[in-house]
Parts: sequence; structure tokens; C-alpha cells
Amino acid sequence: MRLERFAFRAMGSPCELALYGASRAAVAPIAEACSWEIARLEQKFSRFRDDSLTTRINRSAGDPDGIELDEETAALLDFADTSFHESDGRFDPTSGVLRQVWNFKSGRLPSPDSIRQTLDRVGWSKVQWNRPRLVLPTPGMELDFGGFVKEYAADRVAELARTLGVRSGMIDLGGDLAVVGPHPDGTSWLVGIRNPRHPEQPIASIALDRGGLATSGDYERFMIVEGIRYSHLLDPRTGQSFRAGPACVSVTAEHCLIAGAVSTIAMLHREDECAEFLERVGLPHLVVGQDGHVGGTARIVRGSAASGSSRYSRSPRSGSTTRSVSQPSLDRVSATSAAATIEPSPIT
Amino acid sequence: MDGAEPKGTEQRNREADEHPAIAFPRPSRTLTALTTSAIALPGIATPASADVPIERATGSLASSYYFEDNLSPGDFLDDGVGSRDRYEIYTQQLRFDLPISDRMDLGIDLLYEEMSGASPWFVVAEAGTGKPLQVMSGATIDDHRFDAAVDLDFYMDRGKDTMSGGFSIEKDYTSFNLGLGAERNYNDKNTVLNASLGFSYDWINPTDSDGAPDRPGSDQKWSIDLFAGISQILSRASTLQATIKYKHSQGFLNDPYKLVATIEPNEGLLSDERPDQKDQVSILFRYRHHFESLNGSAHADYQFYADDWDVRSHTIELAWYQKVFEWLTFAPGFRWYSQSKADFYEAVLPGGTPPSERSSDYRLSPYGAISFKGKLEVELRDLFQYEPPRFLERFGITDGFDLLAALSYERYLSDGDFGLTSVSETDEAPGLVNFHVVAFTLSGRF
Repeated sequence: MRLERFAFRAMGSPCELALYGASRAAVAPIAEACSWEIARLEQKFSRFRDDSLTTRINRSAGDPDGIELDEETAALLDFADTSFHESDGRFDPTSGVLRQVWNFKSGRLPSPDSIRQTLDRVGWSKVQWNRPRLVLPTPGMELDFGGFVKEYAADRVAELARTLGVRSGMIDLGGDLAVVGPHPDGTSWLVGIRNPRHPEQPIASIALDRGGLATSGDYERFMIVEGIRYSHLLDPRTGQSFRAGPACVSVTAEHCLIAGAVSTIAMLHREDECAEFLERVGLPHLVVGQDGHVGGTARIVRGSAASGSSRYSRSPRSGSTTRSVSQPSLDRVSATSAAATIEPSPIT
Repeated sequence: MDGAEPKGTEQRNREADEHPAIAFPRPSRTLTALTTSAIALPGIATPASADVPIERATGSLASSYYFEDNLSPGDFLDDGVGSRDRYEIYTQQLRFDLPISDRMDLGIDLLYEEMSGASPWFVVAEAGTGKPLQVMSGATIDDHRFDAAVDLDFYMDRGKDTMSGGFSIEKDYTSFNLGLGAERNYNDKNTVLNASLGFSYDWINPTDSDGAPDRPGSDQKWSIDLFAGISQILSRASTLQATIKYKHSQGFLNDPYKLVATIEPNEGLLSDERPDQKDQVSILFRYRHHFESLNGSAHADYQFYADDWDVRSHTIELAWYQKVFEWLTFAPGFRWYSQSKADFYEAVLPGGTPPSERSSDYRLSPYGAISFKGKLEVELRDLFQYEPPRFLERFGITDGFDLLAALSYERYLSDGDFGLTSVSETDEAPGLVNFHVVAFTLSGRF
């Protein structure tokens, strides 16, 4: 079995499909089918495309009849609804409009007035969601699937690859990871987690043999105004950049979709409450504090991914074993995959 | 319900199906909610993974106290010898589950119990009315039972195989058993099939056999049982399990401590005589439904049982598991049971030539029973953290400790009138039992 990598750009991110197969020719059609599926979801849910469903939904804002949605979109909104309620409003698919006032390239903070006015158009609880009909009551209100559609795509593509016969592989959509299956010898994938303050260095590695992994960090976009660091993590409840959270949270779960929602919600907890929240949810996780301290319950291979001999910490609750200490196969997938694209893109 | 069961196991056999070993509920409410809505999405796999052994060692200690009500004066013949004080049983049970390797775990069960009290001996007809009255054994029986069992689980991609073995020893009874089982899951773990095969061999050495001419010096019996089951996840919130069990027993199935009287006072007392084989079949359905909005689950079970001694029974059990807090569950429950009599059961034999098979054992009589149950479960996770020595990690001792405590109580009442059909006064066993059980279980996960 050979590990074949297929790299391309989609959903605004570098993506990579790492699939085991007899030969490149054997898995290339599968990789192509996966990339079509990603392209379909991007076309459907992109907020930048004029012909997307997201754009149609957002145009319906203010229309009291709203818009009727298909099964897939409805199920995604049900998931968002659950996440909104389980997070006491921290996870909110209507929070995207806050970007209209927060411009991280400008180096200027939005005025309190502009935030207040924008908040009138934020709040999932204001939305009338009676499956399959969605009503955005206020003109200018917007839904943004960007917070979870990439994670959903990773899960779907992993399942698609399994359906097409791949037993070992990893899907990486811009750092949202879904395992197709462990390496052919049964060993886990090792996922390098970036140091949030030195993004080119891994701060730890997490062993992953199934399910998904997602990471939220405050380093993707931020600005420093008068010596204070404002990250792109906006709290939908206040409209402010949330500054009390940890630097980075990685979560593993049976689905990347869940890992993504939980890591997003965790980042909007005060650093000292973040671990408690994650413990309560009961998913293996890794938290990097603002001071660079690494903690958590995921199968962390401490230090560099290549060391391979460090002990694992507390076992995850999801069922993988803690007793194998060394990982014979140290294949690494970067969790923020810009640096992980090794092969030139075969699919475009 | 064989006569020659070890004393005290009668209730445990009944309970065994109803109180599976305590399982730690794993996913939190938030995770369950997120998972439920995630797997509703098209093209998303439900969590399917190879079965893995337990990761962390668990140990549990269970104590229970079972005590029967004294017979009411109207059902009891006070012959000056028999005691109205019926059975009480103290049980202590210790169980360990240890991961042995990535593919194997080991379970060890140790049980010790003390039994004491008088037991129903035979039934006579009250002079004049003909109403059956229970005569109790005189001397208080005191016995101990020790039971040990080991099971090994071997895990594979789609399930596990289990090997088990155990023995039980008391003064007048020795039993050993072996079992093989297999479990496989299909359809993304939405369907689980189980099957098992068991064998047991028992030696009976009744005490005081010198004083009772019909009591055998020693005897044996053996049995095999077959089990098959299917569990199906029906929807996000509901599961259904169906199982069928068959058991064949052969050998000494009489109760050496019971006698049968005839309506003619001077015809003497006869020994308890039953067929020397028995075939039993039972079919069980279990339904579980979780109500997200109420944070609770409904459990509903039905069992049909039949044997070739002509006993038929129906059991319905209902329970509600309410999560009060994240760490506290309260579960009230109700059970109803009805059985028809064995074809050779007679409270008191009519005159004439006695039949070759006869018993006045209340457990073979027609009756019904109701139980009221209540259970409180407390789960405390991550009670303390510690750094165990490396070699202990091999046995699943990791750096946290969770505690689960459960307290349960059951009140069981049986009566000829509680069953499906009303029972005539001459058929109703005066020895029908009412009891209480209080149980406390403490489990730790390391």
C-alpha cells in the first residue's frame, strides 16, 4: 500500500487528501470524487458567490415568508441550533455580519455605536427556524455557514472515501481533519499542532486514529491597537473581540463537525474556564494558554511530533487505547496545512 | 426455579437479567446533543469503530440485604417446631475489570453470601376449611455461599468473543460452569448480534439426609443453555433488544428440603418428586427511549417464559431514569409478574395413590407478583488526580479517578390474586413470599 497525497485549494484554504491505495492511479479517481464533493459544498454554501444558497438565504432577510430549505441545509441549521443552545449563544451562525465593522487590516477598532447597530442584526434566537422554513426577520441579517461547513465537508469526504473502498487515509481541509482510517498497520495519524505564537513550529502532536480534529486559534487574524491584541474571535453576545480566552484549542471527536463547534465554543470561554468546559463536554482536547502552557486530555505526543517516544497523557474517553506508547509510523499531517502540501496539486 | 438450586439463588437468578453491571455513562449531555444533530446530516457516518477493551481499570463493591416478610398467621401452621422467620441473605460482591492488552480485558467476580432463616417445608389442609397452611422447617438454616467467576473478552474489529468460567460452593451444593459467547456489530453498530453457550454441572449433598429417609445422600444435575440476541438502534433516541434463551437441565431437579402432604392426615408425608429433566424457553424484549427535553429515559421490558413442566409466565417491567443533575440519576420502576402452575404442583395431594411427580413448592404454584423499585445513582468524575507508576498504566490505572455510587431498594409482593387468572384458595400456595431488597454499589474507575 502506498500513501498518495492530493493537494488543492478549496473553501479558501489549502486542502490535502492523504489516501492509501495500491497505486496513485487506483486512488486518483477517489480523490477526484472527493474534490467534487468539496466543490459542491463550496458552491452551495459560499457567502462570496452570487449563485450560492447562502446568498439566496441572505437576500431573503426581511421577507416575512422567508425561504424553504433542502434537507442538507436544514440538518446543518439544526446542528447550528443545537450548538447555539449548548453554548449559551457563543456559537451563532448569524454573527458573520460583525465582520462588516471589524476590519483587522485597518488597525482601527470599530466604534461602540457601530457595534451596537450591527448587533441588532445578530442573534440566532431572533431567527424563525421552523424546518424547512427559515425567516431572517431583519433586513441585513445574514447566515454564515463558514463556521461549520468546512468541518462538515471533511466528515462527508472521509465517509465518501470509505464508501469508495479506502480503508486508510486522512482528509485535511485547511486544518479541519477527518480520519478515513488509521495507517494500514493500524497505527494512528500524528497531527502536529502549531505553536500559536510561532506558527512554523509544532507545539505538540496529537495521535488520531478515527473521527476528526479541529483547531481554533487566535492567531489567524488579529490586530494590535495601542498595545492590545485583538483577535478575530468575535463574541456574538457582545460584538467584541474576545480577549480572555486561550491562544488555541484543538478538539478531537467522532466527527470533525463536532470537534469544530466545540473548539470554537471553547475559545469563547475565559482561559481558566475553558478546560472545565471541555472536561464537561467530555472530548479529548489540547489547550494552549496565552502564556504558551500546553494542557489537555488528548493523546498528546509532547514536544515535537518526531520524537515519538514521549508518554501519552490521560486517555481520551472516545475509546482509543492509551497503552501503546510508541508510534512506529510517524506520518505527520500539519493541522494548519499550509506547509503540509507535498505533492503538486493533481486536481484542479 | 429448579428445586435443587443453591439456596438463595432463586432471587438472584431473577435479578440477574434486571441489573446488569453498572456502566459509566460516558457522553455528556452537550456531546450527545451535538452528536445527535451531527449524525442526522446526510453522508455523515454514525460513530463506528472497532470494539476496544475497557481503557481504565474499574473495581466495584456491591452489598445487598434481602429479607423476606414473616408468614402471616393465617397462612402458617404453628406446630410448635416451625419458625415464622423466613429467609434473609446478606451478599457481598467484588468485581474487577482490567485491561490486559489492546485486544483483551479480564473480569473477576467474587461473591460471598450468608443465608439464614426457616424455609417452607410442606403444606397441610386446615381441618374443617381445607385451606392450605404452610408448615415451616424448624431449625434455622445457616449457610454460606462462595462464588467466583472469571471472564476474558477478546476484541476484534466488529465485536468480541468471551470465555467465562466459575464455580459456587456451599455446604450442600457445589456447582461449576463454563461459557462461550460472541458479539458482532453490523450496519455502523446500529445492529448488534449476540450468542452464547453455557454449561453447568452441579453436585447436591443434602444435609441431615440420615434423618430424612427420602433425602438422597448425594446427587447431580447438569444443564446447557443457549442464548441469542439482537439489539437494534431504531432512531436517535430509541433502541430495541430481543433475546431468546433456551435451557435444558437433566438430573436431580427435586428439592430435597421439601415434602408433600396428602389430604388424609394419616397417610404421612411424601418427598418432593419432579421430572428428571426440564426444558425452558424465554423470549425477552427491551425497549429504551430517551426524551431529550426531559433529560430522562423510559425503559420497558416484556418477557415470556415457558417450560415443559407447564409453567408459563409473563413479566412486564417499566422504569424511568431521570437525570436530576449531571451527576445524579433517580430511577423509579415497577414490575409485574404472572405465572401458571407446574402440572404436578399440588398444595396438598388428594387422597388415593399419590402421583409419581408432586411438589408443594410455592415457586411452582400459580401466582402473580408486583415490585416497586427505586434507584439513586451518583456519578462523580475526576474526583482526584494522581500520577500512577508507569507499570500500572498497563492495567488501565491512569491519572484520574471517577466514582459511581448506587443505592437501590425493591419491595416485592406476591399473591394468588396478582396474576392473570385468579387462583382458587386450595391452589394458592400459603408460602408465597414478600420481600425487601436493599443494595448499595460503589464503583471506581481508575
